[in-house]
Amino acid sequence: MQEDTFIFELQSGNQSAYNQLIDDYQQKVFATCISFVPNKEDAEDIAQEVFIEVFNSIHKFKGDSKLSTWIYRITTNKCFEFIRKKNTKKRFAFMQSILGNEIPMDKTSYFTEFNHPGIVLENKERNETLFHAINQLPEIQRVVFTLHKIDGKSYKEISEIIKKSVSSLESLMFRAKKNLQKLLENFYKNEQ
Amino acid sequence: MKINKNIQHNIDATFDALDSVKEVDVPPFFKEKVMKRLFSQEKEEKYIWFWFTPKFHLATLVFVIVLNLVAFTELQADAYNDNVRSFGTTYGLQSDAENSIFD
Repeated sequence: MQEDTFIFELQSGNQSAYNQLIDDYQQKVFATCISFVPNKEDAEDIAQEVFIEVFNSIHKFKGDSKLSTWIYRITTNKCFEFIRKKNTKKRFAFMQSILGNEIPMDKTSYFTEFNHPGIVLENKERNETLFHAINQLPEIQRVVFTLHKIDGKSYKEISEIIKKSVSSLESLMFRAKKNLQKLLENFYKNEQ
Repeated sequence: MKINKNIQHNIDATFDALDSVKEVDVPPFFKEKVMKRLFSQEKEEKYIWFWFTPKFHLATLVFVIVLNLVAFTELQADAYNDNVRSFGTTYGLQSDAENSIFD
């Protein structure tokens, strides 16, 4: 089915069109959700909310981007809505930690219980440490790093989702890696 | 120096651990749950009075109460006027016959 026709069917509330939509996107949406929120149950809830939002907002879709891009944008927004609600970390702690102050990464204040089935036991602790560090990055760096490094999206795809140029993304990625390096350095220094 | 090397080794190993993250399959019956939520939600909206939410219930109730109070007050005032007119007529203090220009 052509995308225009498919969108028309979705806007008409056609049940079989939504059947097809979920078949096509459920895995991708869920994968993106669990990349941002490494808890299987929470990721499933958020993924459901994404499709509800698509259903409720499809009449607002103007076709100025691909349907997939629009869905990923909704997915990213829903993940951040969830994280913002749950996150108790103070913003200034990020600045203090990159300046080398002795504020260790507080794993107890992570916004969800770490439960990612795709992570093997031997790597669980390191991945947990990394996800905690990612959670302390500025939001835009967190989006770019997560979508590229964890969700495996290309810079081109990410640039369409978050409406930034590829060169901006490269710069954000560089800064994200630098900040993560600093955060992890402080963490491992405090651990010793 | 040795400590720094150790820390850097840990940092590198942490970044490398990300490469080992495997894709997680979407939970079973996910589609069924979503379809149920989508199309039972749609049925609720098809009811004619779906817009008549609890805040409208309250507003309507307050309006009806105010209307009743106003009507009751008006009724009390009318009843009083009727009583006064009746008293006046009974004791000849007031004539209820209208004067006609043809008399």
